[in-house]
Amino acid sequence: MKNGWRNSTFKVNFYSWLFLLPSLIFLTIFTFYPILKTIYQSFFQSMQGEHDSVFIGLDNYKYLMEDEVFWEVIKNNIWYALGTVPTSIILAMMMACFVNAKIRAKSWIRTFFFYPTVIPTIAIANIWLFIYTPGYGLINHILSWFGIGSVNFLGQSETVMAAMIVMIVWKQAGYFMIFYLAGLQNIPTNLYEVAKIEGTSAWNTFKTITFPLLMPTTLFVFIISLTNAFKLVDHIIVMTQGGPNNASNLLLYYIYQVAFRFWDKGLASALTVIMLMIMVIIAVIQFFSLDRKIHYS
Amino acid sequence: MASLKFEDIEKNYDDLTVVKDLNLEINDEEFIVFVGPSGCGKSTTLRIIAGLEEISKGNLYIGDKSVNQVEPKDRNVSMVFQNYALFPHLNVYDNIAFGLRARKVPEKEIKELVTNAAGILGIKNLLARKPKELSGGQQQRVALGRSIVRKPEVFLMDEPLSNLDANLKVQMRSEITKLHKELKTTTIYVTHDQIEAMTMADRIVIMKDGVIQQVGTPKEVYNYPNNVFVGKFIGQPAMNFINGILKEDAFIFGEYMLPLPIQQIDFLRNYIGQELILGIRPEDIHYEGDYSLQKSSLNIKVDKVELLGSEAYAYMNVAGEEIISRINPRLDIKSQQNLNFYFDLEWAHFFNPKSKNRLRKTELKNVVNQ
Amino acid sequence: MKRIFRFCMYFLALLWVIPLLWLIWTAIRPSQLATSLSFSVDFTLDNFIDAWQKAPFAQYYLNTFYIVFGILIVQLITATLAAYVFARLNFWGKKVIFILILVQLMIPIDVLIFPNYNVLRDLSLLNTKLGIMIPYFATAFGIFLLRQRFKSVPYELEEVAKLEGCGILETIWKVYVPLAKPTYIAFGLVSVSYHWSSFLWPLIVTDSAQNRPLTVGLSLFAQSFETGAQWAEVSAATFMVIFPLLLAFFIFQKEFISSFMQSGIK
Repeated sequence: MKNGWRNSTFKVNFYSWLFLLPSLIFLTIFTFYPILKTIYQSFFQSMQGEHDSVFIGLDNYKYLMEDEVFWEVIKNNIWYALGTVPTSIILAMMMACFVNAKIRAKSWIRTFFFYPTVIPTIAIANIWLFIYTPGYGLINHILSWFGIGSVNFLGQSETVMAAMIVMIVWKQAGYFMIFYLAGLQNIPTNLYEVAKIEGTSAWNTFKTITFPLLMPTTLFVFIISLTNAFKLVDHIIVMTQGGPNNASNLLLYYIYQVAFRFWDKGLASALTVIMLMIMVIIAVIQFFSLDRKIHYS
Repeated sequence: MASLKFEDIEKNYDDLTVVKDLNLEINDEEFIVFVGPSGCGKSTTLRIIAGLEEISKGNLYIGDKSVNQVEPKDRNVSMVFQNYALFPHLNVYDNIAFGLRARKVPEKEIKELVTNAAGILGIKNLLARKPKELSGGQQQRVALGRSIVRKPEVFLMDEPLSNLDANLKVQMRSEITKLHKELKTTTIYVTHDQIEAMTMADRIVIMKDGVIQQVGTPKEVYNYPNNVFVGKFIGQPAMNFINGILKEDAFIFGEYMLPLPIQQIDFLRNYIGQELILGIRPEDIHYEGDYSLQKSSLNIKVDKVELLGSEAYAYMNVAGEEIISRINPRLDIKSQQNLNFYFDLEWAHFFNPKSKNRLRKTELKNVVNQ
Repeated sequence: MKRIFRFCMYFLALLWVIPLLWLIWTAIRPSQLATSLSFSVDFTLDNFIDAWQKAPFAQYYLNTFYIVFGILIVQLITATLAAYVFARLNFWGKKVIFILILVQLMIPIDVLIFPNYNVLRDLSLLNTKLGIMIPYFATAFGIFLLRQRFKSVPYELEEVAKLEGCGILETIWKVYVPLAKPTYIAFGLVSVSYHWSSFLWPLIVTDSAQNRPLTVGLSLFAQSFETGAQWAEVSAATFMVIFPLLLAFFIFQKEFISSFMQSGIK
């Protein structure tokens, strides 16, 4: 780099490290150290309050492999991801195409789609609790107009996951819409002009121009929504506590339970390590999808 | 205001040497123009003076002080950049005041200095505007304002006019010269445009591949180019160069023979029989009409004629070399005509074909005193 | 086809806005009507007053403000310095450090609740506002966002600043920071709305009203009722929590949307 006085290597290094120091300190204490520490602790058995921890090798992991709740949680989380990710993406894309077109009340519509993004999940959980509540909840009110009896959406294992998925899709679809709007604005308008001249139908235009050119956005949104599927658990605390029968328990919430309800340090660490592995897998997916991005942009 | 001295300065980036063996003294109050093609090291030299580039070898003095270890902000130089480098978030006043504020000059004094500088440059009415609301020429003035307001010892200008259109260029050229006459601040000006160099400089420094080719007044470098490169670079169109062989009293190239004037014969005595390059300016090749004045007239076919208005150039091909002659624009010459041209060799130069250097003589005429 | 699509989307927009309307509707009607959908013109602010009196929402508000803006201020400082280094300086170990910082983008702090709780305990920061804030003081996201912006600042501007007498910090402050203003606004909005909403971490860290943010306070308030009888109050409380965010969103809608857009372009 042609940098004048800063080429004097010592000065450059001095300032660089000095300026990076604050960030590095906090990153070390609250990201790197905890990661390493938690990996280490996952090989020990120790309960909160007990000072002695015993090295037990992979026993925590072995325990988890045989733990029904763990598998239930993993299964739930996969369903949760399968339910939220594609739905949010498709809805977001539709919303963006809609809002990007010439329509009435455009900015209001955009606002309606987006506002759930700025509401805390915990508040959303409160709102939807009232919507789902048996008997008096909004949905049950509406169902009663059609003569359908009260359904306890959050109280039965068959419906609780679906209820949560609907809520999360409601929360995040508008957020993803924003990325699609940005993506749409990057598509050169003359492509659409060509399509118009060629007489391509709306659906074909979407299929051949819009959708492929939005691919980078889709990949990006896919990664965020996948991460969200493992991060977003605030609502469980208010709505279901993971129940009934762990039917709505997710991995991060299970970590919370094991760590702060059962106070099992070793197991909580092992669970955290599994969570870290999932995050790494997502990062790897992102890394490889970035490669593909080049073809589209 | 200060003089500058370069002592054996060298600048390397890794393996690449961009400035080599730079030795130069610049006098106080002088207007020096560094000129050369892109990549010749002229900008690097300027940035070395500013302290934006570190010297790999050698010493740089501003005044009597070695500034090798002095940071840019303490060198008391100011610089005008090619793209003006105005702060887009500041209005004209704040842009001009930027350096004064950084140096903690009291606001009251700043106001006076900025108003004064803006007055000199005729931008008093623009002080409240943001750079993006200004034309190129106005932005240029603001950049100059920022540069002069804190009265630095040296002004550095890096191709300041290259983003302006032709008319504005001419105007700003004379304004900068005027400014220099008023302020008398030592100015070092970098350009690739030899016209700027010729019109503005007290002395021109011509560089190529990191090496100074020649230092001199515009007249000196024009009339006595040190080498083929300088001859080609200074002057528009460039000096003509013709490869040939020196006979006793004539220069031979292809089927043509040019008799030499007495003084040249005398001077070239030692080179008889050698291959040389003849360098002759387009204005020294005269179209002679139908009659041939001298035996040194040559009958040449004109390939094309370029009319520029106040002057015209005839392009010809002689023994495989394209040569250009400046002709009277009012003459009615058509291309493909065969015409007589007289080569005034009194002002011609001869160059060594290997070193490309001009053959030195004890200067025949001192042009400066003419 | 096009018409069906449009109709569906208008309908979807309606569906999207219903929860908010439902919340407001419940919050402004007498609590005894909360469980019925019947229409009546009763309007009351009692629910807000009751909620405000039954739980220390004022304290929660203050705490949230303190936490959110505390985090933001520190983040702005750490991220600005680091972003400048990554944008403009070449130093020993740059690549390694850059990758280390990428790790934080990869592994969000939110999934490290358990180990970070232990770190906080070791630092004796449990049940403090600083404890809620401190893990977020370094922000890889902020660093990347600002670095991107800083890189697009013409290098000559920095050189002019140097020549005109600015030191390195002064250059950052007078050249880079003002030029990156839109990026700062974007980052600020994203950071504030994110930490305003943050729940699980403060829930774990705090155990007194003195340090709880709004989100935790709200969930405690909501959970303190067994039946639907107090819905109206919970709705009112919920509305109080989201109101500043919604208001900010409606006022700064353009900025919000463009900043969330920017936040995606890494």
